[in-house]
Amino acid sequence: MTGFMAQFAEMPGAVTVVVFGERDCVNAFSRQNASLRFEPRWDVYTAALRESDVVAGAAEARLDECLRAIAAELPSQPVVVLSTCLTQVIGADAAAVCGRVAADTGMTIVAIDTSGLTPRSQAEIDDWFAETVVDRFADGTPPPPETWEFAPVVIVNLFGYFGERRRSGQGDMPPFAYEARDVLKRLHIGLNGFVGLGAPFEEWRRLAFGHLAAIPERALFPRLAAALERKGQRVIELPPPKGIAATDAFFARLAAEAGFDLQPHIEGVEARTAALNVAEAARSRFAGRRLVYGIGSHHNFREDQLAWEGLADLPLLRELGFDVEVVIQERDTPEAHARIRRNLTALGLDVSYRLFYEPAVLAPSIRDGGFEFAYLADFLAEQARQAGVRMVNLGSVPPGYGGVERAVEAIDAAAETVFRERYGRYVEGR
Amino acid sequence: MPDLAPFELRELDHTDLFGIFLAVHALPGSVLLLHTTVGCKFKTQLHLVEHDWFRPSHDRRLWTGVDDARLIQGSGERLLEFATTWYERRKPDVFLVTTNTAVELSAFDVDAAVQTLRGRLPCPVVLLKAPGYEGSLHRGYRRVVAEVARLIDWSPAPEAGTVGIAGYLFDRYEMDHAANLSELRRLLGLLGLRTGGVLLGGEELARLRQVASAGTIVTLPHAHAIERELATITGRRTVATDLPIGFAGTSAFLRRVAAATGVAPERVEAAIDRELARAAPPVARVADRLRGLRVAVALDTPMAAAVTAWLTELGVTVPIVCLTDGEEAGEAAFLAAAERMGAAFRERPVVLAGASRNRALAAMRQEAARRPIPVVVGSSFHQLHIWGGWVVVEIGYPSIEKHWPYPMPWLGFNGAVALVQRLCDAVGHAF
Repeated sequence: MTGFMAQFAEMPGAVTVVVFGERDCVNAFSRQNASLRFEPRWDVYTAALRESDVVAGAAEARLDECLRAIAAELPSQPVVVLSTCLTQVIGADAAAVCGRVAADTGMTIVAIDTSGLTPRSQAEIDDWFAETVVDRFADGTPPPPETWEFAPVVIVNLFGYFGERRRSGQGDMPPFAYEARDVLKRLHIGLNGFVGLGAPFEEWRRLAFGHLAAIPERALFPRLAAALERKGQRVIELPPPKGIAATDAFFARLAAEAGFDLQPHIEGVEARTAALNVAEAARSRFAGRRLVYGIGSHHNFREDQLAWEGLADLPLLRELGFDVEVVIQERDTPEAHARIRRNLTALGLDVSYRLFYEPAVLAPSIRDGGFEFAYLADFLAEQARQAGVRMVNLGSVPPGYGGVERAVEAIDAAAETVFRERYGRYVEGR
Repeated sequence: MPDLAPFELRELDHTDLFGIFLAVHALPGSVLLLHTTVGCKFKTQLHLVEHDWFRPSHDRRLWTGVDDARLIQGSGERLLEFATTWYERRKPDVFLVTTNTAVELSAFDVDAAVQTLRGRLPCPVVLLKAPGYEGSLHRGYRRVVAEVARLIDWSPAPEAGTVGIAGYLFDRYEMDHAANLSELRRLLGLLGLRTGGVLLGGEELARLRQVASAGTIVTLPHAHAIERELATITGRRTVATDLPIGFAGTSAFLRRVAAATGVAPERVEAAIDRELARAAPPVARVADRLRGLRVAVALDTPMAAAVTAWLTELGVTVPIVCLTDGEEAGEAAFLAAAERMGAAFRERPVVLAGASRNRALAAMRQEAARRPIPVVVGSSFHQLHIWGGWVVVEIGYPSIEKHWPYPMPWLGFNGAVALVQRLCDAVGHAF
């Protein structure tokens, strides 16, 4: 439920969501950090089950009442009903209620069994969410011909490269969407759906149409891959384009799908030229400096940070010259070491790593490693401060050529030294 | 026509769980063990991470990892093992354990496990069940306040002229609270009283034990519901007050505390006079310019009453008040408290008590459409008004946009002046 709500809270006004549980269940997602907060109307509802509903076996009747009230006020929006631990424990059947109310009202009402009794990984939930949208909400209607201003050889959907979250009220897509559209246009590839956490619902609905879909890691998103294949799309795996080489590889693979060689088509891409210059200048500042890269702690449902064990941003940081070591929040078991080594090998990364069992004990580990920079989930900032290192928020490395400059800006901001040099001794370790 | 209102989200939908966690955050050295299903993890720290920039709370919460298998097999043993291991890692002063409805319905061995844990761990172990269908942020918080009071030895004789404070809602370690607590101590000092301790105020249990030196416990509004309980637990005299906000509100607070502690009326009046002689002139300089300003208030009942009363003293018009404390919100309680704090309504505001966020916001916008409302005193959940030309003065929880490296109170005489400062900033869009 938390994962589905993380997605829906970023696309307010598109879907009516009902959390089939107690009132407190709606606190299992953050409305403070989501686009939803800024919306004048919240289309999220709670069945607000009371003790009497649970004891008397009346939870389904309560849901029925809630859905009919929604039908009366908001008849045109599709409704999604998310179940909770409590409704699973008491065996309440949301699907039956949804079917009945849908039949009576003509509304689209989809019940999803999202109980937390079976904990799932963030990637599993993202995969399930994407599959649900493709199967239940995307209609496969081709976009109007003027969409691309050219005749596309291939029409592609990109899932999981959204990177930066769109903020409602700005209404625009993240910068990589525009960059990808521009580069793909040179390759006569039409970009159709560009989705990930934070994408508007209308963008998600486009996923059902197209020839080709790229996803960051097939093993992580099998349900989505299958759903897209059922729609007749070929699904390819493309690691997140973080850094110049990775972005080149990303577009080269798509170019090959359209029967082109990328090289002649990217010569004039200004964003790439700028990225090369920025990276070269950045290397003169960052080369050889120790950076600790933390994974296994963040909880933000961002597909580009879940793929490849969360290490997809690492190539860019190494491109900038950092000497990187990875810290992983993980229990220290032989199985964990085997899996991590296997993944690092698969990624072609020869980095050392260390494990820590919980966030509160990370600081000593960072201090021991002689690091200057930390690339960590935001809530670990206190650990970085205690260790006296410069903290860059995990997620500050956006995709694409343009992402290089924005990543360097974020690192430069963290590296800002005047205040630290003058006053750091009063701050660090306290 | 079916009514959608009962199913709409409120601005704050928390039941006891988040209140309990908030209190744990306010009590350094304590940890909260969630013996719950996975979603409850996100009902705690996630709601503080943007509110408190000064101290993280992720390390104050542990989760036993209850899933369907453990529910079927019984989860008490898991709770015991987990708590014992994490006691060794954290060595907390207090170990709070909580459960949710799903666990309560299916795990019948939790009480026994907690009882065993009490014999096993060298620190107090407190079980606070937190069903998600009832309670509130404030109720959860005061339940912990009562439990903390129980952990304190009240047998020593109280010291003359010492008071304790209960029910201060300490939700973050930023300097707004430091300033408030400092102002509270200063106010009591004006009466010749020493503050023995604040339940809760960001101090660990060992220091909080000093509150036992108090002969009187001043209970602020969020502790009113446990005032009798506190009197029984502590054996001390209690005095329920409103929040000391604004000139009249703060004066009323001082008079009430003075009466309860035997401070001579002439002393309190002299203190109030001295304070007003200092604080009133700068407020007067700007009050003329604020007169007639229309301000909407969207806060919990005690805070809304106090802020509204102060605004009306300034000649500000408050056309609409949204009470955000859910089922605890009450128009009658609001009006009575505002009256006690000297509210001078030219026109009584529209009061929405516990309305959903959709309905409260719609009402505020409707009122603003009738005549502009340039300022809202509320929370981060009203920030959409920035786009509509409204400025939000964030106060209390959650304040995601407003943070305080500089100590600026909203309590007391100093807080009254500071609130006027913030109003001026908001009106002039000059920060």
